[in-house]
Amino acid sequence: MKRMHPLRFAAGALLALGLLAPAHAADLPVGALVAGDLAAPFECKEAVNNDGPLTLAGLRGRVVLLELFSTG
Amino acid sequence: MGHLDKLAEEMKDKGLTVIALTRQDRSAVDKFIEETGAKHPIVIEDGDSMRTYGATGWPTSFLIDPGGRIVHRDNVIPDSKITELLESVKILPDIPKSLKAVGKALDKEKFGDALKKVTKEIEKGKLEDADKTAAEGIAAWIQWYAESNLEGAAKDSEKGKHYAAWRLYEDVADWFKGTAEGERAAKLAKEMLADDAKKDEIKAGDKLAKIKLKIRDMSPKKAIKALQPMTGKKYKDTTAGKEAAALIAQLERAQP
Repeated sequence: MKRMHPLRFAAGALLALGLLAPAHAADLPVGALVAGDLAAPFECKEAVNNDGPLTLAGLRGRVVLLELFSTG
Repeated sequence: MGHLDKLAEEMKDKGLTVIALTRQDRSAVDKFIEETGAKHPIVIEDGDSMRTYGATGWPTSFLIDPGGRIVHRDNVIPDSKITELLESVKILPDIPKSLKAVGKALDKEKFGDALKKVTKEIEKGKLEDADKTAAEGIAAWIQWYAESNLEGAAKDSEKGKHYAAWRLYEDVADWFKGTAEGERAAKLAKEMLADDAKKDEIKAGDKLAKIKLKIRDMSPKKAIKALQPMTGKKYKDTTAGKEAAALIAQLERAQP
């Protein structure tokens, strides 16, 4: 199970779809270079379209498709 | 129907959960739902997942396996990758109320305890049919999860990724304490440390992992300084030393 390097997906897929402005190495935070393969827990302030709060621990045992997005 | 809604509906019973995560406020999310008709869960977060996940733009998607490992990342994950993963993993059944204690142990990653508890409940013979089926499914999932992690560690070791293999054996030993799989993992981790060449790789990998945690929020300049000991005589020929050198090269390009 090999994950795509952040530099590759930034420069490749995102640009190919024209969804982002070009990302140069100079724009990348250190965090993007050292992100690990383990999904990081997130802090759920509010869950919409769902009965209760969602946590990664509560989803263990399922396959999760997590999309980080902005409506803007 | 949007693509995420379609996936959430079609693959829910196969074990997929779709979550969209944002830092925006509720009014922006409500407006988005009104405009798109989105029905999948949306989490408004307190933290900064863009940073912790190392994402550089929106949208960025992550496909996470049942053990919490990111197996694919892209702006949009191809459906074929999702289907492929769903077919290759075992899904944990929903935990019934009668097995609440088992669920708590699973949440705490105490898989050995969870297995003991669920086995005990099955042996008592007092569970209703549906709960008994769930209990057997949970026990099978825990066994599968232990085996798949052990296989993953063995593959890492074969590829020369000794630190990753050792780390996973250590984790499995801890998660599955009190089980045969946990004991096997502890033994394999110990054997790796008894091999001098692997031990050097493990020590270097451990050192780099600690440095990586520290430098997440640093400027490139400070991060380079923190990584430099990994390129000295002691570590430069190890996998971690080479990774550190590559990181330094990338960070040097990132400096203004």
